[in-house]
Amino acid sequence: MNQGPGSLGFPEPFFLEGKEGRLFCLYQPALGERRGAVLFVPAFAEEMNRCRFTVARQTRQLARLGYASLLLDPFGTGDSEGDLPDASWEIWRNDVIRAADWLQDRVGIAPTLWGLRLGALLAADVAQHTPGRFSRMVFWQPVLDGRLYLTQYLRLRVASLMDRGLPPETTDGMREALLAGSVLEVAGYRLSGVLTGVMDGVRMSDFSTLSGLEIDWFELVSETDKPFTMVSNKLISQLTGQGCTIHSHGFTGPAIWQLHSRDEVPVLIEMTTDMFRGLA
Amino acid sequence: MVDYMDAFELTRDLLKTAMQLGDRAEKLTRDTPLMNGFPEFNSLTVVGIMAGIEEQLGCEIDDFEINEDVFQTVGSLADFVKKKMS
Repeated sequence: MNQGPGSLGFPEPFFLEGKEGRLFCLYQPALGERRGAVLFVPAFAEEMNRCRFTVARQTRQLARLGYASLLLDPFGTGDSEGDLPDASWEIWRNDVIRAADWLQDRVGIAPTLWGLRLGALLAADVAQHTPGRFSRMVFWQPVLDGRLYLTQYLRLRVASLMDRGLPPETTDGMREALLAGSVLEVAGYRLSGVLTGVMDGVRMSDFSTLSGLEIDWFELVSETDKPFTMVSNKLISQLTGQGCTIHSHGFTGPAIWQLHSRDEVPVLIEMTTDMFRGLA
Repeated sequence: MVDYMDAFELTRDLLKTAMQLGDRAEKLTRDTPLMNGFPEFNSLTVVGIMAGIEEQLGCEIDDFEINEDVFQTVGSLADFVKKKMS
């Protein structure tokens, strides 16, 4: 529906043909003169659902600045085809590249990769595998170590079993079961070793050929003058040494990807919008 | 930006974020009870705090290290954080 001059058009939902199945996408056109394009790489499982509202608000802000954006549900997630146990890291990497190709064809501008949580690790992995393809990335509270993240995710099952008085399991035991071919339900999502086996070994610090990228890195801090985590600072130093340019943005507010009730973190949207507004 | 001076300060910040304490975080002392002191403190809070410690310090916490003793008070949690910092 045409919204008339000065107002945003509705985002356009469609299915993109992926290698393994149709991928649900939501394209938000830019308003007015087009300045750029942004491909959103989502967080994992419930973390993504908790952030959908915030991400949608951010895309509308970007559209008003002249940035078109594309939201992608990788294979086996969201409204895309496939089941999560059949998804793999490699399939997701190809999905991101496929979506980036589509976006670039549509707007004629190389997109920025914008990754949230595990999506930031996946986006960086994509950049590592496609040298020179991307020049700018945005990280929102990036996951840096797939193994650590998987452990934290599996603990949700440990906690759930504990709360229900069921026999305890360990994260090591779950890993073994996954690698042996079991499908485990964790926090409402069915996981398989096809995905977790690879996720376990993905670390951003191993992306030693990642260079020449400009990265705006947004990380939650308890107060505005508090530092990023030691791990993040170490990785920022490493990436800088590899030839990347990192802009650090500490933000305060609720960790919306963790919250069970929907909350908002307007300062993150504001800071991200200001960052894009300031780009030449 | 400042560096974290000690384990207690980091612990307070982790609790502030995990339980959305806001200004209430300033009132936390070593003796403040956790497990029986906050109605919102549950197993998912523990999962969030563990993740916060790992992400802040770049360490990994084994399943066997997580027990009720760690979460009795802010002080007992700070002692655990200090151990992981060393």
